[in-house]
Amino acid sequence: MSRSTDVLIIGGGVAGVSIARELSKYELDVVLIEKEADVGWGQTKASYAICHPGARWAHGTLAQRMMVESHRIWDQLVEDLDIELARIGELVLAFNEGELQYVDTLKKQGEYNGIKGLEILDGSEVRRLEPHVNPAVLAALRMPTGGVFNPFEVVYAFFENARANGVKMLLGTEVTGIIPQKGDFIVETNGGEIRTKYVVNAAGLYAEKIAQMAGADTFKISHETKSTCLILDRCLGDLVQHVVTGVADPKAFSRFKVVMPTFHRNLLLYTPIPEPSRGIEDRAIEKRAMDLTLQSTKSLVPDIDFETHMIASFSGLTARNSRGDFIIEASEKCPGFVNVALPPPGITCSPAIGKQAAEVLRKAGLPLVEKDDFNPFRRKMKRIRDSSMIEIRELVHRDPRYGRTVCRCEKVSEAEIVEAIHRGATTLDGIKFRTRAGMGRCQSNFCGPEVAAILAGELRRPYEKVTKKGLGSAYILNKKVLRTYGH
Amino acid sequence: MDISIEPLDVTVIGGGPAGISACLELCTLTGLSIALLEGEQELGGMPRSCHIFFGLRDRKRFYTGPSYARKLDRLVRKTGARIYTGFRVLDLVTGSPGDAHELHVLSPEGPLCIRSRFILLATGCFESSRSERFLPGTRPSGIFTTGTLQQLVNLRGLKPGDRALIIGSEHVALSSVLTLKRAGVSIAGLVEGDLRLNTYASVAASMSRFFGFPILKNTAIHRIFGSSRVEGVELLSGRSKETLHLDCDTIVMTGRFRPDSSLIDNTPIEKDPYTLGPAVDTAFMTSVQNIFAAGNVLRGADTHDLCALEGRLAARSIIRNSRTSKQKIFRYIPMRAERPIRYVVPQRIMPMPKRFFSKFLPWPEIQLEKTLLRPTLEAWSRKERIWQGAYRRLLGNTRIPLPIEKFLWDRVDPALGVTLRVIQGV
Ligand SMILES: Cc1cc2nc3c(=O)[nH]c(=O)nc-3n(C[C@H](O)[C@H](O)[C@H](O)COP(=O)(O)OP(=O)(O)OC[C@H]3O[C@@H](n4cnc5c(N)ncnc54)[C@H](O)[C@@H]3O)c2cc1C
Ligand SMILES: Cc1cc2nc3c(=O)[nH]c(=O)nc-3n(C[C@H](O)[C@H](O)[C@H](O)COP(=O)(O)OP(=O)(O)OC[C@H]3O[C@@H](n4cnc5c(N)ncnc54)[C@H](O)[C@@H]3O)c2cc1C
Repeated sequence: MSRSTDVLIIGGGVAGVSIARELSKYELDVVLIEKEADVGWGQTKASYAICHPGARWAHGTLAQRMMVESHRIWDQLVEDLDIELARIGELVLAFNEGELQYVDTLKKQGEYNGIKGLEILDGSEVRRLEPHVNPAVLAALRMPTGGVFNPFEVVYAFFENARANGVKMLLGTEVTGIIPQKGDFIVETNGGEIRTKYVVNAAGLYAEKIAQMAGADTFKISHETKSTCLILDRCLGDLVQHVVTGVADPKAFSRFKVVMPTFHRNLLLYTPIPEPSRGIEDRAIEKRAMDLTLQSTKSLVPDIDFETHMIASFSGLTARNSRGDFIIEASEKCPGFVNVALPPPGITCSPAIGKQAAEVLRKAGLPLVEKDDFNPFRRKMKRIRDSSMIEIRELVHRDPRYGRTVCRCEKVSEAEIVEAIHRGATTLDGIKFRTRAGMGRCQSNFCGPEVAAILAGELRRPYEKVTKKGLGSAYILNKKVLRTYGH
Repeated sequence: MDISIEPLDVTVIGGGPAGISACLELCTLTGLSIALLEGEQELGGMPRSCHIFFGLRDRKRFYTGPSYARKLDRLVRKTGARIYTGFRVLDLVTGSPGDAHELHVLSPEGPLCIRSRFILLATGCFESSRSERFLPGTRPSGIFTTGTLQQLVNLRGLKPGDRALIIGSEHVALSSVLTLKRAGVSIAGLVEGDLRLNTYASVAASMSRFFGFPILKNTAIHRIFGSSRVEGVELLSGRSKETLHLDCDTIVMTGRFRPDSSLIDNTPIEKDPYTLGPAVDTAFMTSVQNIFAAGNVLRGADTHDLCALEGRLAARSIIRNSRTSKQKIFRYIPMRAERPIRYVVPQRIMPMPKRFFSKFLPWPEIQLEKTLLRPTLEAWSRKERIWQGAYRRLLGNTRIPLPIEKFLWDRVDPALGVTLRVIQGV
């Protein structure tokens, strides 16, 4: 591979794909490079996908400005790109005098930040709205603009729309070196070299490392905070109606406890635990973190048997940079090299981040000429789960594979699996995140072998070459064929 | 090519041992219109991919799992029941009392809505996932349940890995030993967190000797290793508190069954608080009139022949109900269980002077979280003890019958019901 391009984006997290989609509006050659087999598998996948209303971020920070601007854009974007966002509102609970003061201050800061509809509810009102929260609650700050995303859909929406508008996506390709050369950059990857005029470094946890390659590092990234998140069965999804949160813990990077329904109405639990990571790739789940999370979220919602209804759990690292705010700027040492380093909440801010990065590139000399044929729309997949009987009839008439269920828990049909593959899934996880096959109660106990068979068929690969998440993660290890029962 | 099915008397959901046996029984009574809906392309349910030793208590002879499934298939196709394979029920919409219930079904020819007076849920069970078991560590590929393993090996003829670790020691763990051996996978060990095995210790011991793998009791999975594919596990011994590293590329999680009961999620049907399966009374009826449930959807862990018997009994109960237009209202007594008892099934029972059901069906039943030595079980109502039973040993994770004929029913407060507890026991 040896090619050249105008802009090369390193990293296919939510930042990278949002920037790609923004740049795809203009007459430019854009390439996005992602080391994993799919987009969104860095921090983005580990997030709990709250659409933060924005009161918790100090006025004047770039993060806060991006948040305000994003909230202006989201509603339109949700329509254009068919993104799944439910604005269910956030409730910050207060249980003592100190916490009362905290929510009061939070309300003032939020109003100063221009957030609409903030109100303090007294204890009885909170208990009426949320009968399952700890009855000791004294008051709560309600922020109606908060919500929950389907985080995968956010990433895939930007990704698919950017690709439809001409951005070249190189997945499973890792940047290994960057050589500035006569105002351009030669970017070395495990798939060959690419010459580019501009580089956008949106490599998340690896942003410092990538910046170093070009000598454009003016910040440090720490990957020390590890977070663990528990997903509980849908039977508990209606337990709370809001994103229910606690006050920030100053000892844990101002993170806070969360009990909330996910977009698909599972229950999500999170507690900040000062658990240092063991390295930049450490995503192992600690038993201690699981136990502590179950225990301490009970202070928000007691009396519920969380233990017996856990269906999934995952851990992820947060990239915190040495400046403590969003960094979206062109390097002074190395013009044409734009660093994008985001502490949370990158998903909430992703629309504005795309625009901001484009603006920074424009100021650095990149001409932004609008395309005539930019298509701002993208539709999500048709799903049996979300369709009426009449819609399902049409779907099955169009493609009989909609009539065959593969994942029983989440009601995913064969046609949806196939479509996920046509939209870019090359792995079992890629299919899972696009369709939810295997994300239900049985966690792919029933459908795993069948999904793998469909993937093998569509990719025209032998079964043993099907992977869970790319290189090295084969679903089965051998191709030895045994005699089967019964046939 | 839209399809439709006219209103039915009975619809059975799930073509495993429970559902098929129910159909066979229902068809002994002529005049009822009956349909069996199975989501898979073939009838038979779990036994299609399972092991030997099938049919003992319901068909009185030995079958292999697949041949047992084929036998049931042949039998049920000879009856008047209409069989629909590849028909998956997506939603259950309960009707108001006296009305028919509605099923939204997805079939290869399109969606359809079936109205039915009686419904039998026989949708089976599956084994707990990794998170439910609190298994810490990385999240690589190569972690399966026995169910998935048996699908891969027995239905697809594939060898999942080279060296496997088995987690759990219920009966099904022995199945996974045999399945792995059949596929030529070596076994790194069998790990049980409990102090004792949840299956017949002598059978497990002879398998361990014969196939040459260690059985590690009182041992927890401390960490799973491998970022892409499983590379090994670190085990923590409960006794010595020492850690031990085992290399393996595959992990098989066995047992800890859960009902496949997602159909009742958005219905008013009452659920068991632990299993999330439908709560039933002694006649297999759920809290919604004319909706019944039988087989492993009731709780999870049981053998196919007991499921088949349950299917049969539920069918008889449906037949009885179909004969009377007026519903008899029985005073059922609610049953509750306290840890370490996980559940009691049925959740509502009728006081009975003597054993009501077949002697092969130990019912009502409870399940314990772990194996207990010299435990005493007690039943209480209000502040009175209405039964006490001392045992030498009770296996965890398996069916334990409850001798309700010995309960002092006249002391029971029907409104408060009965609470079951374990006293003592180690
Ligand atoms: C536990 C947790 C919870 C969170 N909760 C929320 C929330 O509720 N709401 C919210 O808005 N935000 C939340 N966030 C923050 C949000 O997830 C991040 O801000 C956002 O995902 C950052 O996106 P990114 O694209 O910058 O980084 P990433 O998603 O990390 O993307 C970087 C990408 O670059 C790729 N890459 C790295 N090196 C190379 C290389 N050499 N070559 C090619 N590709 C490379 C990586 O594989 C990765 O895909 C949370 C974060 C965490 C960790
Ligand atoms: C991995 C595993 C191994 C086992 N090994 C043994 C063993 O060796 N020996 C033994 O005796 N028992 C074994 N069992 C127990 C086994 O569950 C029972 O033997 C028996 O199969 C249970 O019968 P059932 O009819 O209740 O459920 P199942 O046999 O599970 O049948 C349920 C059927 O319902 C169908 N179904 C589910 N939902 C729907 C829907 N919405 N619409 C339409 N159809 C639906 C399913 O496709 C399935 O065919 C094992 C169980 C498991 C999970």
